[in-house]
Amino acid sequence: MSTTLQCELCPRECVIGPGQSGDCRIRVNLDGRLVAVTYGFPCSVHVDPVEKKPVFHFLPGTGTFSLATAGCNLHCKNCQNWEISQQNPDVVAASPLPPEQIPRLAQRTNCRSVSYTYSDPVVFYEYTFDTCVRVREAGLRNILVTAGYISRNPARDLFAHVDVARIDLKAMSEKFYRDVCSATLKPVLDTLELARDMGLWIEVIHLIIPTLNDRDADLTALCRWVRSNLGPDVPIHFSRFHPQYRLNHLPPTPAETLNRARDIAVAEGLNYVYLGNILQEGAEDTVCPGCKQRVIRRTGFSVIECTLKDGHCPSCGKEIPGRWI
Amino acid sequence: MDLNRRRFLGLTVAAIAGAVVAGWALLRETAPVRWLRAQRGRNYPGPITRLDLDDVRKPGRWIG
Repeated sequence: MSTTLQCELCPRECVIGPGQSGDCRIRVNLDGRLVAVTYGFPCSVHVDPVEKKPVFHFLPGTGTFSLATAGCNLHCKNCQNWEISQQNPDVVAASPLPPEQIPRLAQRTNCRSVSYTYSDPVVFYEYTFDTCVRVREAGLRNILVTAGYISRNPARDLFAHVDVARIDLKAMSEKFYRDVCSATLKPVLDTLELARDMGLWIEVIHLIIPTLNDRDADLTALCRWVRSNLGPDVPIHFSRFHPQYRLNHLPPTPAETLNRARDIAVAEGLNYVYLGNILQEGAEDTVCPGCKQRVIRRTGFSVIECTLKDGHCPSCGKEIPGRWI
Repeated sequence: MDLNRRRFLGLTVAAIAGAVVAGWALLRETAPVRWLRAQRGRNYPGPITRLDLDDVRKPGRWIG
């Protein structure tokens, strides 16, 4: 019998020879068995404000117990966390932390949720899955911060234990995904639709990179897809690019581009549009689409003021969608 | 032995059947085994550090 394996976790479907790893670097063929070598060994564990993910319509102002292991199944040229996502686990220090210890640690640090973040939880799938089950049993919530590049069946199994999906939609172009991320667009759109169908709270983030995905037509297509397929109430975060990794020859995204993106999103009918990585008054505030009253004021990753009453605008009573309690 | 019609057909059917069985065996030998769930690794391949709770309480340096 052959000892070559094929990993079916993500659309890459890597064929992995004996002793080799998949494209993600952390799923390895050891003696004819597929082994997740980072299971139970996160390289980064921190308590972050939930706004840092960014997730804005979910338990605002609370801490989220955040963890990641090395590895990623995308290879974005602009990756801001490349020192852990694009490295072999052999050179990334990690600490032993089995899933059964995580809920208690999250509670000890006053967190109401656990986030699987920084690199991509798709590649440390089994660790994420087992932790999600235990976190739910402890009465906490799960947040997946992901690029959404995962096959349908494993995504469906995992989403049954997840509360929030914060998914990157990097562009509406196959060319962008191929050239910049070494991936494809269609599976990401499928993942977003699956998350919608399974009733997860979804927030979309889109990093705007000068010259690569910042044309009006690009932004309009993206906003139109979100509006048509996820609905007008799904928050969208436009994030500012800073020169990084293999795209350090490009300039930062101008503030005007971000503001233009917000205007396009509003014109396309999206109700909750946020700007990230930029200090600008009102960029991160939640405004009631009914009466235009500000209901949550944020600066950086902090909630300065939240006037929501049971998830409703205190001024006109309109329901603001999200998971507030 | 003369190659009559019955023998010719018999040999042809046997050859085709042999080729199908050999092809199937070869495919089975070389096709990768499909895996969805990975098993838990016994040892982490990189350096291991102790979890520092004071550090855990601080926001992470990574984006997201």
